[in-house]
Formats: sequence, C-alpha cells, structure tokens
Amino acid sequence: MCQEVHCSALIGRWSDEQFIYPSDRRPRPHDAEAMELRSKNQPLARRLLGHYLMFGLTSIVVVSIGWMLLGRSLLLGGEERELVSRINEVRSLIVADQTRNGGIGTKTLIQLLGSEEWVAYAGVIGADGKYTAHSKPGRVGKSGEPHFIHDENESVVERHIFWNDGQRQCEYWAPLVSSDRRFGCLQVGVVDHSHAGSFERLTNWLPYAVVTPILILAIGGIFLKGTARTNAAIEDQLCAVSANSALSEFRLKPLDEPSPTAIGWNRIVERALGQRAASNLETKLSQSLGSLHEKRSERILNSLSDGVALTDKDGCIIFTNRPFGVLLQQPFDASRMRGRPIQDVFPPSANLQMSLSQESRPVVFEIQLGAALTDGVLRVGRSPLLGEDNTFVSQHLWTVRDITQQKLSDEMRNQFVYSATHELRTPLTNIKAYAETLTLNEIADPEMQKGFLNIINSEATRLARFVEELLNVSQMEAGAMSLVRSEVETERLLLDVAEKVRPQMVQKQITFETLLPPKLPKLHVDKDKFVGALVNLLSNAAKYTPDNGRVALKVVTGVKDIQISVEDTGFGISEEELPKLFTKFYRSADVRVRDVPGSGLGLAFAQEVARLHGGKLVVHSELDKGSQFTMTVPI
Amino acid sequence: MLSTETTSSTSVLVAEDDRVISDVIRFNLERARYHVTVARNGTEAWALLQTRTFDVLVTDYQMPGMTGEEVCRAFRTTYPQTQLPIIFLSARGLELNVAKMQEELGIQTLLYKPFSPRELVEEIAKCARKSIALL
Repeated sequence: MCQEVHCSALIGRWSDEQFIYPSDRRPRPHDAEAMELRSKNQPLARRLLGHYLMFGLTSIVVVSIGWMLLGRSLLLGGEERELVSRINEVRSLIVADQTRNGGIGTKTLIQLLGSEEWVAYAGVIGADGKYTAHSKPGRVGKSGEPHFIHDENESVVERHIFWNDGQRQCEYWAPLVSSDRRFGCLQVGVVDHSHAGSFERLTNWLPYAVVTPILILAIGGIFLKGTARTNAAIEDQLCAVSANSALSEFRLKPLDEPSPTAIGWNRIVERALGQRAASNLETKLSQSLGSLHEKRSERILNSLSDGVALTDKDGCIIFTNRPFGVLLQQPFDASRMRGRPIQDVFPPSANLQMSLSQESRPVVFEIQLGAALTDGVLRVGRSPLLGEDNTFVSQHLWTVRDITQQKLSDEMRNQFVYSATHELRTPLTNIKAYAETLTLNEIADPEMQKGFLNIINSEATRLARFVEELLNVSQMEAGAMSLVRSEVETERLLLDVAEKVRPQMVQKQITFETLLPPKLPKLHVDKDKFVGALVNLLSNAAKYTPDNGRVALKVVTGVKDIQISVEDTGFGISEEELPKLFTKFYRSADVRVRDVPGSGLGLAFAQEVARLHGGKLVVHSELDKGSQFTMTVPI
Repeated sequence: MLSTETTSSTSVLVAEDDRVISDVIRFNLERARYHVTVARNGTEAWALLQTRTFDVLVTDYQMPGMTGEEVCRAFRTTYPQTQLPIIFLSARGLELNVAKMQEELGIQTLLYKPFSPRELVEEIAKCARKSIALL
C-alpha cells in the first residue's frame, strides 16, 4: 500500500494508521521492529559492498573453475607429448630389437602397446609395405596403408588425422631406422585425446561457465536492487523535489516497507505533511486576514481627511492615501505617486528642505500652495517611522492637513480685532475730544454747545450699537443666537432703518431712496435683529459706494413673503469673492474695501438673521457697477 | 491757559478723514490761535504740502488714498532739508513701531486715539517753539 498524498491536503486526509505516529515517544510496534532490523542491517554502503563482493567473487570463482576445467581440457596437448614419448620409447625398443635380435620381439612389443588403454591399434609396416606386426593379429602380412614420411629423422613422430565413418581418428607414424636404414614404420592409432576431446569438453563446459556467472550476477543484481529499493524510492522523490521549483507543488509518498529507512522516511513525510498542512492553513488564514486588514486599513486611510504618505530612506514615496494627492493637487492617482521623490510632490519650500535635513526628529511645518492664503495652506508633519523594537527604520510617515480655513479664519479674526479696535476707538476719541473741549473751553454759543453735546450723544449711540453688534456676533459665533419675535409695523421699521443710515448717506452725498409699496403687511420678527441686519446691508451700501453714488431700499410683497432689497452703485463684488461673501470675518481683497473699516461680520449676521426668520439673503453683484442684496422672509 | 506766544503766525495742516474729529481739532487749534488747514485725506494733504508751507503737520495714520505714514515719507524724501515737525494721530497704536517711525520720518510725537485735544495743542506749541528757535 503506497498511499500518495498531496502536501496541500490537510492532515485529516491521511488517516491510515500506519502513517500516523503520535507525537509522544511511547514505544510503538514499529519501533521494536525497527530496532531489530537496524541491528541486523548494516549501513547501505557496506551492504552494497558486501553483496557486490559476494556475488562478484562467486562469479569470479565460478568463471575461474570453468576456465580451469576448460583450460585443463585444452591443456590435454600434454598427453600427446606423453603419447609421442611412449611411441618413441616403443620405437626405440623395436629398433633395438631389430638391431640385436633381428626383430623377434617386435610382435610382443606391438601386442603390449596395443593393449595399452589409449591405443586403438598399433602395427609395424615393413619396408615392403606389409604389416610385420599388428595388435590385431589378422592384419599381419597384409599391406598397410603406407604413410609417406618425408623426414628420415629417426626421432620424428608424425600425426595424421582422418575421418573414418564420421569419426575423427588420429594416427601416429614413426619411422623405424636402424644403422641409418629405414626398415619400417610404426603405426599407432589412438583414441583422439587431443583436439577432438578438448573441443568436446569445451562445448560441454562452455554453457555452464558462461551461464552460471551470468545467473549468479543476475541473482546478485536482484538482491542489490532489493537492497537499494527503499533508497531509490526516496532518491526519486528527492530528485522530484529538487526538480520542482514550486515547493508547494511537490508530492511526498510514504513507503510501504518494514525497513528502518522506510519507517524513518515515513515519519519525516508525516511530520512534513503535518507541518505543511498547518503552515498552509496558517498561510491561508494569514493571507485572508492580511488582505482583509490591508483592505480595511487602506479604506480607513483613504477615508481620512488628512493626507498620509510613507517614504523610504531615500525620501521616495512608498505609499500615499487618496487625500494626499488631492491635497497636494497632484494629477496622479496613488499608485503612480509611488517611487517619486517626496520633494517633487510639495511646492518648493525652505521648511521642506529644513525638515528633510533633520532625519530622525519629528518635524511640523506649513506650506502655502500659492501666493494667496486662499490658494491653500497645508500643515505638513513628518515623523520617523519606528520598527517593532522602537528603532528607526529609515522610513518616514508624512501627514498633510488642509488648514486653509483655519488660516483664513485666523487672518479674518485678526482683521476683526483690528477693525473692532478702530470701531471702538473712533467714537471714543470723538466723545473724549468733544467732552474735553466742552470742559476746558468756555463756549458762549449755546448752539455750538448743543452741537457738541449732540455729537457726544450720537457717538455714544454709535458705540452702543457697535457693542450690540459685538454681542450679536458673539452669539452668532457660539451658535446661540435666538429670536424674540413681535408684531411690527413694517413701514415704521423700514423708516427707522433708513433714518439710522441716512447720516452716512448724507456724509458721502449719496442719493438714498426708499421705494415702498402703498400697503405693507405686518411682520412677525425680532425687531432689533431684523433692523440690525437691514442696517448692515444699507450701511455696507453706503460704505462701499463712492461719493455721489446712489443707494435704494426697495420692498416687494408677495403672497407668502416679503422681499427687501438694497441696491447700490458701489464697487461691486468680483465673481470669485461672491461665494465667500457671507463667511464670518471675510473681507474683500479689494483695496477700496480694505480702506473702509469693517468687521467682516455684517453680512454673516444679516444672513443668519434671514435664516432664523425662515428666509434667505441673496446677492447679485457686478464689479464696478454695484450690488443688490435681497432679503426674503415669510410674512 | 493755552500758550499763545507763537500761535498768531503758526500754520498747522491737519490731515484727518473723519469730519467729526477734524472739526473738534480745528476748534481747539483755532481757539489757540493757530492757522488751521484741514485735509480730508492723505492725497489732499500731500498736495497741500507740495504747494504751501506749514509749520506743523498733524496727521491721522489711517486715511483713504495715502496713509499718514506715506504722506510723511513722501514729504521727507521730496524735501529732505525742510524742518517740518509732525504729530501723528493713530488708533493703531499697538501696531506702529514708534521708534522706527520717529527715526525714519522725523516724527516728534505720536498721540494715540482717544487723545486729549489739550495735549495736542501743547504738543503743537512745543513744535512751534522749536521751529522758531531753529529760525
């Protein structure tokens, strides 16, 4: 059973008991077995070497024996030498017998020779070509088959091989020479012990000599293969792992073998799979959590009103949130900001250069995006980013906040303080100057005295009105302005208003007209505030209209509402400034307006009063031609 | 009460855009027998300074057209040799660098609003005496 397991599978998949090892070290059945096997098992190299030597040597021994046997059979040529030597010996005896006894004992000698084991037959052929002696007595006197012997040397033995009835036969011929005279020839037929026998033996032995070692080697190979099988299986898997660059893709197989190597391998596989599964689970979890966190963090960062950026040690942008680019009026989206030097994103500024030079300290500075405050003012903070162990990691966190409104508000407030001071001091100066003059000088003319006192009175009234306005402003600022409504005669109210501003008109010789319909409905309003709002509108018209200009107070009544308009032929308001006109403390940049003291609160107050009465205040204006403010309130 | 020694021939230019305050200044100075000319704004004052000779200049700081400071600077630049005592009236006392203005523009006195007319008359008298002494 070799169960294939994908590493990406979870632990649960691998449920076969054979491959589940408890993590504790309790003795397990396999442990004992493994120990036993280990004690029997030699290291692989030694085992392989042992097998190699055993089978190699056996083969060598077998081959050696084979060759020895074969060699021996081939070496049988030695027998021939003995044979020849015996033939020579018999020949010498025959020659001696011939010489001494005239050949009496030749027949006996031949009979003896013929009776020898290796001799098939033997005979002596005389000079006449007939057998004088033969081992087979019937052959004596019969002509032999003389074999011509070229060599007359008495020691020569010639071998003659021929085939008789399909059988190889071997004959030896030896000349018989006595006193330099050849008197015959010794013929010995032998059972072929030389080549024919060797060849036969060779052909007999060869299959065993070749096949046996091959068989032994084959058996040895099978044994070796068996020995290396576990290791080969492991090696195959390791090779597959090394060939596969994507670690997550490789497969590990447990091995179904009782060898300690296999058991060890299976444990490693099990552990790896366990770790892998856990690690996969962890990775998947952290990936999903991470991407969740990342997305949420990015959403949070993009939802901030402040710009946030992160720069690396070279001051290049790593990350920006969306507002960062928007605040710095960058045409690129966040991804295209990446890699750009941070100083390219900001307008040139000495503050920026200074902050860049101070690496490890938090720095806060302000940058103005254009020549005017209204072009935008940003408060830029740069803090070194700290790592987990509170060490500086050569990255900086930049925050950018739009403080344009705050700056404008500050400037307007300063302007207001200046204006208020002036507004307070002017009537005070007049009161003090006239009062002192009256006190220190004897003024006989009662008319002049009355005139002086009237001035003191009107300046005190102006002062009181300004103080009232300040109170309204402070209420408006706190969002706490409330109305005390009462029924008022509209015509009376409007005439009061007109009277209050008439001196200003007269002073600048402005033509001031009031155009009222014959019948006006009663109004249910906060009289003081309503008057204050209208006085502001008319007072502005007087202030910002050049001498000899024209100001008109017009009233139109509708079914449900009443429209009160103040028209002038004054400086007018530029299109760019119109949207900011009702902003608290805002004063026009027009020098002609700046020359005239003002709090920058009159229109804001008037608009607030209109709103609180359920109405609205609308402006139409054209630069250098004049303005028209229309306050509409329900009847 | 008020010194009249030097007043009969002393001419004073008062540059003040607020008619109410210029009236009371004129009343007090005429009572002290000064010859008073009132300019309604800075531009008018500068035009008068270029055409006529005055012994003392009393000027408001903030005026339409040229400010009091601009009038003084123009005068000192154009007529560097002329000794004209200047008395400054200002509601912006806190914002003016008195030392710098006195040094640069040769301003004798700076009176903060609300000022005392009697004090103004006395300052003018001092200036007039100095002018006579120099002569």
